[in-house]
Amino acid sequence: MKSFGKIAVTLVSILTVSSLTISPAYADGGEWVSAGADATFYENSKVVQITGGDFEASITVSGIRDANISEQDRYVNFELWEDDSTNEDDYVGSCEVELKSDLGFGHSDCIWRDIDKFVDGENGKAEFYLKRDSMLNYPASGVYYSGHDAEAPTDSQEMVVGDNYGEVVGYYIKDEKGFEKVQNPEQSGSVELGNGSPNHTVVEIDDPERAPACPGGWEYNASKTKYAFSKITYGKVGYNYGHKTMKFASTITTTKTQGTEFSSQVEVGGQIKAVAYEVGAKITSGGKISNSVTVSKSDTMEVYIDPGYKGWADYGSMRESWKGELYYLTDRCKKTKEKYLNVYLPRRDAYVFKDKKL
Amino acid sequence: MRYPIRYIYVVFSLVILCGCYNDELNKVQIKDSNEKKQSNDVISVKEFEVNDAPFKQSKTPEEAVIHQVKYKLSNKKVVQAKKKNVLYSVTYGNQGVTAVKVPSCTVTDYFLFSTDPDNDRKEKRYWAINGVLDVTIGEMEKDSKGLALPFKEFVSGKFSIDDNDKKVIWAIANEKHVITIGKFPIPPLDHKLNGKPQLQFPLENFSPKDPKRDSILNMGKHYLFLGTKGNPILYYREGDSLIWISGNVSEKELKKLAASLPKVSSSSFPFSKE
Repeated sequence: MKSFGKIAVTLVSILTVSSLTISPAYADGGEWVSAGADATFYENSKVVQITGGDFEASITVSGIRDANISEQDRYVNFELWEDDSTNEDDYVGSCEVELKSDLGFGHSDCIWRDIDKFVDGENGKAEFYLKRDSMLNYPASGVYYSGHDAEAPTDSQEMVVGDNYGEVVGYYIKDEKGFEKVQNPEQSGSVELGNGSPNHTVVEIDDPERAPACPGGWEYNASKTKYAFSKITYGKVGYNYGHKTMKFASTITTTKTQGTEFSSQVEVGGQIKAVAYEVGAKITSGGKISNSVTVSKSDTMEVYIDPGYKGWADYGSMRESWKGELYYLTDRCKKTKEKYLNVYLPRRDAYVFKDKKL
Repeated sequence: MRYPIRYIYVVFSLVILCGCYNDELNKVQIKDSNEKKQSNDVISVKEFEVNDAPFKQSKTPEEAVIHQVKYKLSNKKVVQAKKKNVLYSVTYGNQGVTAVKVPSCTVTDYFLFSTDPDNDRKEKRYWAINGVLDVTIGEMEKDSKGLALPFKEFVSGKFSIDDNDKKVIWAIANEKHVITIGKFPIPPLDHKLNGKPQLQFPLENFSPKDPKRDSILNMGKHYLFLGTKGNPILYYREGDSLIWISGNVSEKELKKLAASLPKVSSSSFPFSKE
């Protein structure tokens, strides 16, 4: 049990988060220290520096205006990444916050243990930040701690609902032949790329004597930043307190779809076409960009659960993330009306198997 | 939430968050195209837990699934199946398959358990769970793909008991009934014996035994007897496979279903069509 010291730090952090400063490290029974706080973030949290041990993010998500949120929007997923200035950032793990429709918000205390391997650089610290990986942009806040978790799982046989983080033991994505196991979604060659950019060379030409160099029109010049698993529905969780490895197959008996729909910032017409062309998505008759993935009934996948573990399969889609600039290119090749745009696009059915030591 | 003080934290956070809410909602969003709302009255299975149980409570597959398994429901209640919740059990040799309807749920949920006697225990015939197939009755399929089912809409699931896909069960269920079709490998017939009983077969048997069982499991002949729960068990040999069917349905319905099964070598088995 963490002591009152940490609770005090939580309150102090909350009262100071509006200035977005990192609270000074404050020991709590020798086990936890505060590592900072975010008053509000939408996509990425601030970066906090950790020396090792365990890391805890205490995340709150507001969903007050959507009390009747749909089942698949109920779970807001956050990924923990290590910010690496010299190489690509390292993925650490994920955590979910369940929005409680009766309360209008959700909260989770997520702990990642033994994060020493992410400590790097001259400062001997790991730089962590949270990245939202969910469909809706509800505002989130976070309070962060480093230290040692005194509440590590024991052999207790109490079943805890909502304790849903675990180690990923297998990614499976679906293609024409069925489900195929991949090492991890980012290294998979099975997920097809988008159609690519028109690849215009943008040069500004102000000399009216010269002929127009560009056809003119909207362009979205973007690159795909990563694949990520996006959950559509939970599988049941099996706890194995016995002494025998157990195979568990869960059957999906509902059809749930995860799709895209742009609600603002992208106008119907040229802007939509430019974005759809770049990311390889369709345009619906309503003038909206569209791509959807359906997890359908009678899909069954099997997962092994070793003694002393719990295991489950989450069902969802592999989702692409595109980041880039949307702009209007004049017939004289001048970029105007520029704005940056992030696009998240579901691509394939996917299952992720997870397990966790009890 | 593990600490009461976290509630205070949440309240503070919400005050801060709400102020930022309106401005940011107009960002690019991805919305769920399926906006079904769940009723608070829905009670379903969220988790299940398998434990060891005393030997005297695990002497049969049925006892094992009653005493070794707990179910945690969406209303936080933890329940265990009782005898009346065990729909039937089919045991062939050292392989048990037991169908359970989880009690106290408003969403019908069947669990089929694979059990075998434990080699690691000193006690003989301690049945332990080594596989679980969960079949929840949700959105139903209507196309039976050539299978003569006693109901029009159903949910189906497949479970490979072994790793090489030789010992497989299929479950086909609706709100009231669940039918299990099993495919187990068996030794081939020795044709040199010209119909005489062969020593190598039967190596195994159903438990309880089929009282009218022939000494040879002849090709093409269907056998039928009743299991411990009064459930009909129909079985036959096809090549090197034993096909058995059981369920909480009538003998007549089971025979009709068996007659509609394709050859076991069919890639779509037990369905006639993909």
